[in-house]
Amino acid sequence: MRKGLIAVAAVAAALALVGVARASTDQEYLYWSSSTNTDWMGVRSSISNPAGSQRAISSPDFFISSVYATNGDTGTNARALQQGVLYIDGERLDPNGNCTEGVSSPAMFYFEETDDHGSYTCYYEGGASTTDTHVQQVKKTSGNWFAYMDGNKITNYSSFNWTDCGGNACGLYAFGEEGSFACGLWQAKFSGSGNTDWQQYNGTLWSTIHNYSGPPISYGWTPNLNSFPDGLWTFTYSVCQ
Amino acid sequence: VKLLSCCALAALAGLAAACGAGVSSSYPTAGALSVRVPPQRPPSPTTWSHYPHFPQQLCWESPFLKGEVRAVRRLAPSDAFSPHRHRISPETVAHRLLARFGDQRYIRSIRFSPAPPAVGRRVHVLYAGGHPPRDSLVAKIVVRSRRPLLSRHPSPKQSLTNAVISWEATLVGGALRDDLCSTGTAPLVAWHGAGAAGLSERVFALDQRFPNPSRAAFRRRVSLIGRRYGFHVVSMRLLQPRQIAPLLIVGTSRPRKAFVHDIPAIMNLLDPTSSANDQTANTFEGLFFAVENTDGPFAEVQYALRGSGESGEWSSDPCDYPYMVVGPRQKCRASG
Repeated sequence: MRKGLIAVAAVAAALALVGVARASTDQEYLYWSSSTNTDWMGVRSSISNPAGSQRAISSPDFFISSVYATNGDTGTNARALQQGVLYIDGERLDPNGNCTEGVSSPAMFYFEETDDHGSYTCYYEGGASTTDTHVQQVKKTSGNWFAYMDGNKITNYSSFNWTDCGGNACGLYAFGEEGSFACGLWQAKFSGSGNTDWQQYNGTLWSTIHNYSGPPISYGWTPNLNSFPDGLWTFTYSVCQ
Repeated sequence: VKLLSCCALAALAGLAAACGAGVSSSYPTAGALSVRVPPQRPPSPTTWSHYPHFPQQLCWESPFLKGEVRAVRRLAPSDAFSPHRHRISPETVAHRLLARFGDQRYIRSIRFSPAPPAVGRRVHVLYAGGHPPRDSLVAKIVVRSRRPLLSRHPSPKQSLTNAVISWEATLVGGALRDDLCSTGTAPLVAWHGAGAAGLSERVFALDQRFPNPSRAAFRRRVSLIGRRYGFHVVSMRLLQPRQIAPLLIVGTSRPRKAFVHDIPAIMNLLDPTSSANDQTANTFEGLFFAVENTDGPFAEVQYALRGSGESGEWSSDPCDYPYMVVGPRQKCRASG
């Protein structure tokens, strides 16, 4: 009887733990948003791939470091474009279907993703080397949004645009994500000395973003913004490490 | 996904069994799980011959980006390049492709224009530092009508139509790249239109030969999978961008959530894979799978593997997708 009560209590404790996790999020980010039209036509930042000692993954799971721009809506009204680096482990548990098809697992690769009213499309952009640093960028050009890496246009989407927010972005993000509240380690590294800060584009000039919101309190994530905006600043996911 | 997290956390608390019970009760099983579907995996990547050389003068590809791992992404063996004796015009190549494609509802034509010359900033921005030959082409894929995508709030049916159009255009772009290369017509450096676009990039293998089953064998297999997972075929088009790419829409009376949960397993059976040496072999160059019930479409998954690395999914429930959703999304409380 006593053992049974202990078991029930343990289950209740575990469910409470799960409840906390459910109410939390697996994303960590800084963002700049507006409820009115803006002149924000792009966002970019240097993003450094984590070294081998700065990442660990348990299948099935994924991690992301990226920048993205949105129309300011969510759910079925959302339109968003993101560009960054993705680390994943899990056979055919690939995000959005098969984005990692044909690459080894675990795999780290560059990717672009569109959110088109809740329809998600992922584009594989090639394998990623450890510790490389690249300027990841999404920018509106001639009315459409495109992704770039180090200034190279990733023309995976030919007509991605929206009318909300005057056709510009109402949300700009520097973003880290973990897929399933699992054990793992990932350091999302932005900016850095001599690198490109987290910046917004007004159609003519890029300028460093200072007016950010966040980061939220997210399960497993620890932000380090001591060197924001022009030093290296990080979001680190670390669970069971 | 969040059920997985439930399991992960419960496992940490030593309570995996309790969580596992929750999973099975959350997802009612299909009616005929006893139906056995043979794996029918494609030949292992270890059987592939080395990736052949393709002359850049005829099959130009933009170089690997700086920092990108210099590995060609292969999902099937590639045929060795053997140029045609007679040069064919790009228009003829495009006409033949669309004639065999198998769905004339959306894509009307393909128009060619010269590729922008590799000068100035364009060399870096468009061509990743490469220099395509002077006779290189860009293709525009023209659709028959205005896409419903332009709607501010697309209905599920419109979302499904949009996804089909984009997927078909992606298939056509990838096939056109291979067709122009293998016929020695002219290099295709980029294609766009119908919500899809691509660059001819070295990372994506040329001229892959997928081990498709026969059309009759695939139809029988779909029927078998349908019996196992409780769906019937609403429509099935076996498109032929180069080889077979099934466009399959099914109906079910099963609970929506339970069916969405089974979609990855269904996809594994529709397009079996083999993996070895950090490579994966696929059976088809593309696959589109959508499901509907009496209320209309409620989920789809698709990918295109020739000349691109595109994959996508949609669900009528923003909190319940077949696969993990990467990136910005509506925050949902976990169910189950």
